[in-house]
Amino acid sequence: MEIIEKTYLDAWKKALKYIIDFGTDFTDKDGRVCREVINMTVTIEDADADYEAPIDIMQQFEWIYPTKEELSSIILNREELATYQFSYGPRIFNYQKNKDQINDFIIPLLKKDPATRRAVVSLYNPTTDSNVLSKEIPSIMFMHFKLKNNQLNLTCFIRSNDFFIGWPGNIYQIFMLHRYVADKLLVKMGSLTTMSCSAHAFSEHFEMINKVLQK
Amino acid sequence: MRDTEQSILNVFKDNPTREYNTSELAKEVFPEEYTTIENLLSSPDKIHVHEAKRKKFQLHRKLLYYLNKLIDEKILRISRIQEKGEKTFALAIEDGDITLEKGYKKIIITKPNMPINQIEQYEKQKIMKKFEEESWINRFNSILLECSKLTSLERLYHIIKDCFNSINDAIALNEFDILLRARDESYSSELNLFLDRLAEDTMNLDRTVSLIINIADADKLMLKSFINHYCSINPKKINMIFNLDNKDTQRASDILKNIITEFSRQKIKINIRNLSMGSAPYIKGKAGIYTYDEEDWRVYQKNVKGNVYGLACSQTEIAININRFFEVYKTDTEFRQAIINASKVLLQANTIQRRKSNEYFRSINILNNPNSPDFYRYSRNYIRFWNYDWHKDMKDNHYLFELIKSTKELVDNFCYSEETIFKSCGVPIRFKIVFSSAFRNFDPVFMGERDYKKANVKGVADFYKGEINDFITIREKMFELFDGGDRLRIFRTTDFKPEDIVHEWSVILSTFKIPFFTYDFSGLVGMVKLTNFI
Repeated sequence: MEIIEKTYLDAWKKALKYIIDFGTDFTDKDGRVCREVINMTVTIEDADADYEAPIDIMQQFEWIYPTKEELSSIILNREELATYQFSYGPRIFNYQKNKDQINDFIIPLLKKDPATRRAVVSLYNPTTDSNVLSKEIPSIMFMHFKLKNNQLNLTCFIRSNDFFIGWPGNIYQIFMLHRYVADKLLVKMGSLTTMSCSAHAFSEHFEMINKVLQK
Repeated sequence: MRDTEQSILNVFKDNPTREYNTSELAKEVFPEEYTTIENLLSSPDKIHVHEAKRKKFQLHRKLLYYLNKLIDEKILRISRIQEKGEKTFALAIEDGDITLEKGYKKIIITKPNMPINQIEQYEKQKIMKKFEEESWINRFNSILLECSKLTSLERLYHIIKDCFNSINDAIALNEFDILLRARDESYSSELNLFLDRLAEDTMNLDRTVSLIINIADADKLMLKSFINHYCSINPKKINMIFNLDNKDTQRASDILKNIITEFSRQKIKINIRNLSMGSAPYIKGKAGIYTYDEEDWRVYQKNVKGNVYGLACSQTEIAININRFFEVYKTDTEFRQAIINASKVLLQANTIQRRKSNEYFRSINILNNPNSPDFYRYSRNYIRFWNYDWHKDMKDNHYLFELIKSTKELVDNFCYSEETIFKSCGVPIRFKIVFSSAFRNFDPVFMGERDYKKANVKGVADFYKGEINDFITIREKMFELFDGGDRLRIFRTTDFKPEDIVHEWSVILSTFKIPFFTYDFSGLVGMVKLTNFI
């Protein structure tokens, strides 16, 4: 399934509606009923658009949603914090404590060869994550940066994606990294695409999803 | 700006929400002088110790001169006065950035904004209270240190002192019996000195230490000698928790009788962890009891133990005066909403604590490096209840039990949902809230007097029938509800033989589902008369 929209909010609503209408149900290991669509691709044509809109809606519900500040620091902060089992920032900016994948690879590579197809950031670490007993492994697996017409496009591969509660936070974080790289390259942001292997929503959230769809 | 003032402000700049006492500030501002004093204080030479005390006094006076100047300028304020009159200081500025300029030097301090407070109205009504509000985010409530990893008394002492800066209530020394094994001739006096120094520090800093002792594993002679010294100095803020099961009451009856004799003479409470109910350690702080989830503890023992020097036990806590709540509010729905609001405040506090962990808990992270994530893996947050048994006949409280039970389910769902939300957003957190009772020392002013029924015991027969039996049966139910641990307090009111008490413990341990109890001799009038103890 492929969704292409101009804004984040429209893309999110369309994806949620598709999951509700066409997803298939299964019960997960925690006994929760999950409705799932596999291999869903969502593209926002103008990545610089309303990137805060989904998260703003999520913060209106009764729960405590992670703050933008915390979400941003999770992806942009290279410092390992003991309080998190893992964090995206150190994996991106200090992979295995010796590789800044953005500043030492992506940016110099795209500057040197703007047509490159090698600008990949990996967040998955098989040496620690490919463990049968591991529960805490990242959902975002890798990101691919591509310059086209002097605009920076980003494609992000997500293995498991709760499209209702997770995607607004994920997209905010991905946007932050996208903008960071675009600013460093002095180019405009192009499109932002998420490819979700499992795009899903849980039955306990269906009522709230319907409220979002009516907005 | 003078250098000393600059140094003081730099301490607050590093940690703007924290409060510091004079000793902590002296250590940071005059590190070299302080180290010299510390070394002299631990000297066996009395002249050196006397000299160190004199120098420490001078250093504190010097520091206080500058602190008072900063207070006059409304940059700092006295946040509280501890026992023995020691003051603690905090920044007097509001949240946000402040630039302090004097002469050619300037310093910018950023005090983080606190999140919206969903319990403000309850706080104003004196229904809810955050524990140690000034430091409730930048300090843990309780942690545990593993004596099996810290067998040098000197190193252990310095680590405990360091950890006092990161906690606002209790430190447990797990498997303290490992340190009570005979070494060389001077070891016994080293142990006594260790206890003396700890007793002084806990009083000065208003912290609690729980010494957790497995009776079955203890070197009985060393334990006896240590107990004699402990009882002779009777340290108010160091408690001993004896881990035992019913079989131990027979196998170790001699040492237990000795403990009963010595403790009862000084009217010191005896704390018993019932090992047949689980092996997770119990910690007794001033706010209340702390413990770990049994399943978590099993996982820790199997997979993590040996990798870390310590474990966080409790991060933040809030107490609720239930009696007062129902004087103001009438419905269960309002109660559940209040608890959910408190849960949200705990979550927000955790968020700040998490993000600032490298700043607030730097020394603990260094200590446990490279396994520092394991230190945080099992910690929980506490909601504590005060005056929950306001009906004097606790049998009438069936309704309250049901209310607490249904509220707990709601809170568990809240924690699970929040963990899921944060994980889904790429923020893998652990967030657990447990319920427990509060002690009056959580905050004596807020708590007020507790109106409750005491379990006054005259002999073993009381445990089989009548009021005491009923009382303990009801407390068993409370233990089931309070997943953060609780304690049963039994008051002895008549003379006894030590073997009588051992017998009573055996009955409690084998008959009731009570994981932790305190045997209290304060109900005895006058001098304790031990009859027929040989």
